[in-house]
Amino acid sequence: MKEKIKKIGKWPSLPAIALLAILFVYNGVLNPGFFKKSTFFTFLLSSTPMICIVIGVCTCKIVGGIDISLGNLLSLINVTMAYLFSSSDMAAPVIILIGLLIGLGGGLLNGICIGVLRVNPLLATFATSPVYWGLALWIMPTPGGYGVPRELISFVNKTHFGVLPTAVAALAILVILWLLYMKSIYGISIYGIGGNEQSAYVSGMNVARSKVLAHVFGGFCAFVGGLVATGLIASGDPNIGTEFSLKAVTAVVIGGVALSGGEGDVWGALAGGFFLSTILIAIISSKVPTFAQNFANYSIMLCGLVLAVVIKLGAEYYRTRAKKKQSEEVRQ
Amino acid sequence: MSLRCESISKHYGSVIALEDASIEVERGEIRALLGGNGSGKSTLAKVIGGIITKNSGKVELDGTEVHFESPLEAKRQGVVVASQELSLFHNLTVEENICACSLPRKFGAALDRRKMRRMALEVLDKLELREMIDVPMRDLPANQKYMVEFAKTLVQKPKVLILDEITSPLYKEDVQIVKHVMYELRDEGCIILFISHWMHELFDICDSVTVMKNGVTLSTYRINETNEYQLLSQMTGISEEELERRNHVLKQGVEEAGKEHDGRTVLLDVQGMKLKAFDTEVSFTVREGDFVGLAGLQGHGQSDLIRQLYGLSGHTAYAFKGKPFECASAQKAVKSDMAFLSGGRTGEGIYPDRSIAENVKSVGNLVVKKPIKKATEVLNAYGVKYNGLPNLKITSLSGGNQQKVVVARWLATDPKLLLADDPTKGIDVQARYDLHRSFIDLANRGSGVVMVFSDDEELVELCRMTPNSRVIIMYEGRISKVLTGDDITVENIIAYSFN
Repeated sequence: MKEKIKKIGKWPSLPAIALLAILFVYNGVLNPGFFKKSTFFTFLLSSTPMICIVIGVCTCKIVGGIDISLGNLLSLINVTMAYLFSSSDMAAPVIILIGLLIGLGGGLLNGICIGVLRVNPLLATFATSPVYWGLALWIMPTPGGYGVPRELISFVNKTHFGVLPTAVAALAILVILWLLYMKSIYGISIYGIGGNEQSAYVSGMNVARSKVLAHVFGGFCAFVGGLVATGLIASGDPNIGTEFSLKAVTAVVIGGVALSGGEGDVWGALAGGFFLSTILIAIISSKVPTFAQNFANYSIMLCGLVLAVVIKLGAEYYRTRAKKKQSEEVRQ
Repeated sequence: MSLRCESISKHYGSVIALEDASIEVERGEIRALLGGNGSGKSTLAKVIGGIITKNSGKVELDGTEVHFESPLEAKRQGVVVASQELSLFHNLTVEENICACSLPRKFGAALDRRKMRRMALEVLDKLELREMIDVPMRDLPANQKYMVEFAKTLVQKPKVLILDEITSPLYKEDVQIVKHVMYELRDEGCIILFISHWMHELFDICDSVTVMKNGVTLSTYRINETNEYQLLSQMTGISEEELERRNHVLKQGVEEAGKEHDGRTVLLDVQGMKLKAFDTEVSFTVREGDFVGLAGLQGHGQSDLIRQLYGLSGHTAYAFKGKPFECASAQKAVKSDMAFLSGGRTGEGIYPDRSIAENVKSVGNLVVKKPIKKATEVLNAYGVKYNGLPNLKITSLSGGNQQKVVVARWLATDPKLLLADDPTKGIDVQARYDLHRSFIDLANRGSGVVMVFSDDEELVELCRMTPNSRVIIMYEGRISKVLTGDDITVENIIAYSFN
């Protein structure tokens, strides 16, 4: 039992979950309507596309890289599907399949640049990101494409069994996939490569494959996010995902995923993601003047980031101190 | 199973790491590879294990030639390397680390946690380390990491096992455990290549030994048909009788040498200072104008000593310039007229994004407040070839010239004590010669110079050129021998390095 508590105390995702809880309580006190089912579900739904990107970024970060192109990839998927729904007579499943292929293809391109050609992940996705965005703008220069089928819209906004909105189910699917992958033998490689790439190579792990897979999974996350976004806004918007990319990176860091890789998990990333999307609601319910909202929003984000880093440093300090003590005891 | 290597060579640019290595090992044999620093043992190990690719030569397993392009391919054939550089993951647990190369699966790709635990426990039991199975690797003390590295190879059921100096940091009891496991493997027919600097370990554990020197395999002996002096003689080229005689001299005491100092004042006085990395004590003095070289096998505390003196390992106390001196940071050391040169040029030397002039001014202008007015004068004085363009980025210069800029930066501030950790690493001959001149000039001007060199020949050459030179040889974090005058020879350094 004591062991278990100790283990939870060392869990890198814990600070983010605590932060999220505090923000939830704050919101609940200030704005009792927040936890009303309909309000809360709307909040969950509107956060879902960004959280999908967070899960993708979290995976790429654990393997030691980063992906800042997923937000724009999501935009590309969104506008392509909206465009095809509006101005072609393809069947809806075919269009969704095309969306999926764009997601996987975009992820694969990132993965090949990073894993096979060994381009620095930040640079590689910094380059592919405007490519996806540019394509999206080319397909749809301004928001439009209002031919998204009613079935898709109502499906995304539907709540199953009274407790499970479709969009949240989509998140659940991503989380389950993530867990399955990380519990497989490849999961250990992902963490291993993130921890020490040279060791992973010498240990005979397939470094390139793991990296490509992580980014393909990121592309899949962008597809799921893009599908949900299309249902939510019932149209296409080439700018919808642009700000998700960097927000997702922030969320992942707040969520305790190490910048250098090899540490953290999807739970922390989720908490970090929801933390970011809750901030805005907290600010609105605190009646911050409109023009100060951005300032307040990003200030809190900054605080979250700093807090996450400080907690990490603190943990590191205690760890080294405990280690020192232990080795001194051994010596005596 | 038999392993045969024929005329293997490996070059890194113009540096020859391995020139002509050939060995033949039969099943059930433990073969030691013995040689000084840079003799090519580790390179040979890495070539066999597929970690690096060879330039020429043949590796044969059971008579068929193999070409390993990656460690993975080598592992598939049962060739496994455990190396001093470790292949561990600090963010995983001991259990996951041990099984990382051979993860058991079920239902296709799912990880079989239960089997993994069984596998890990099986080897940990052998190594008597059962209780540390769930510890994260980063919480493990350094010496136990080497046990885990060893455990990791065992899980892979090796047919050819290469142990590259993993026993050096182990406690004696642990070495005995490793030895017994090695014997078990041998009895199962495994080939083991064992690299160690510890002579007594070789005689204790191995069946046969191959001596290497300068990337060439010289000769192979059955262990019971040879002795320490014969092996050392092979490595150094000194006759066995001479080695034996010198060994007696060594036993007569360490601090006898270095007595002549013709009244020069003591600059650095280290008495019983605790060497943190080894938990040993060292004592020595450096007088004005002294040139002291630190030698020994790599990793016996030379670099640690230099770095500790410079305040890079936290709080240290010794006497400097006749006063007790407490050094807690590099900044304090620099402000007290010390200088530090590192062979890690990009990491600890240059500012790669700044200009040549800025680099040469950095210490004088920013730290010790002895501003350098004209960078070009200093650059010319130290023979930096910069084509009259001091405002170019320093990275536009060759490695040797970059290091000259770093040296100029320090020496222009007139330090009383120069500490250097392998300052000429990876530098061409001409630049090396120019740097040597700078070091000698500094000593002649009355400053103290303490340096580590990984190249023994270079050290000897430098010592010959300075009047008050000494070589301190370190072994396991202790000063094992001090050489002066005509005793400073490459052969002596190697001989005493092995204690």
